[in-house]
Amino acid sequence: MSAKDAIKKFADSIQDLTNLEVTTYTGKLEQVIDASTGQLKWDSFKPSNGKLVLVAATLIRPNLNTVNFQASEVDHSDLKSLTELHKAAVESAQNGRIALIKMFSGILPAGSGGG
Amino acid sequence: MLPFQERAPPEALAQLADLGEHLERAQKVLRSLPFPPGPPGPPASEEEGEDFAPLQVLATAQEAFAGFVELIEGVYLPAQGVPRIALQHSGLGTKVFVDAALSGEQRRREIETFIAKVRAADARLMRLAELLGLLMGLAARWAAAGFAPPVVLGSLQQVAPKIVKLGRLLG
Repeated sequence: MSAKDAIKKFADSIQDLTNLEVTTYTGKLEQVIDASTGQLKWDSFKPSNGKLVLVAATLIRPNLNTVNFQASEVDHSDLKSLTELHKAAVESAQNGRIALIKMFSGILPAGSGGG
Repeated sequence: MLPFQERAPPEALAQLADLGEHLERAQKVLRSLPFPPGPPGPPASEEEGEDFAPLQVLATAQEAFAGFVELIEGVYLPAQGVPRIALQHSGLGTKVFVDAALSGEQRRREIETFIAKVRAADARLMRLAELLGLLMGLAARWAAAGFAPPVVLGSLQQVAPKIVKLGRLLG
């Protein structure tokens, strides 16, 4: 994918910045890898995917109301490190939005919000 | 946390998508000048005394843009090979995957290392965002002026110290 295509795909996905959803999954790697590209099949990562276990999910609405889900157990294993990873991912997702505001702040018309 | 309830303006997103091409076009404009553009006259920043050759400044800008493209495509551990822990950002949110084969102490260690990489990537993204915001404003001026060489060169020289400074912070 060219740089322009990568950015266009990213830009298309942020046209409507409403809810921010962060999900953390675990599963067998071989079942989520595209054999031809060696890349993860991210589009298949949904709670309804029977091959994946949803460890945690966080939904942040524009009014900052937040809904959290956490699995009570995952394969009888300790969830602590998985929970820490999920929290870090939530922080990273929010940082991404802040970075966008920073990037566009120089070219948005005055009074267009954000920041 | 910052609410971002506005739709990202289409024109701003279009400018971001076109930024790589605009930087390349500016590079061609500078290379086509009859005399290699040297550093500007009296510097106007704390980098007093430092020379900012426009083509080198543009190279810094292009590296930053390439870095941004790399970041938005996700973070993997290990950097090459099979992604046993992976994270993907998109406009709608973030997905994380952990290979179920990882367990116990190994999983704890690899997650700890991965979290450190994500945080380092976020810090880099913030610096990149500031630099890209500057470049997008610059590219908009170039496009509006039809990439006229005096505009490309003059505007680049005006912000050269800031581009170089931000570029250095990226490492």
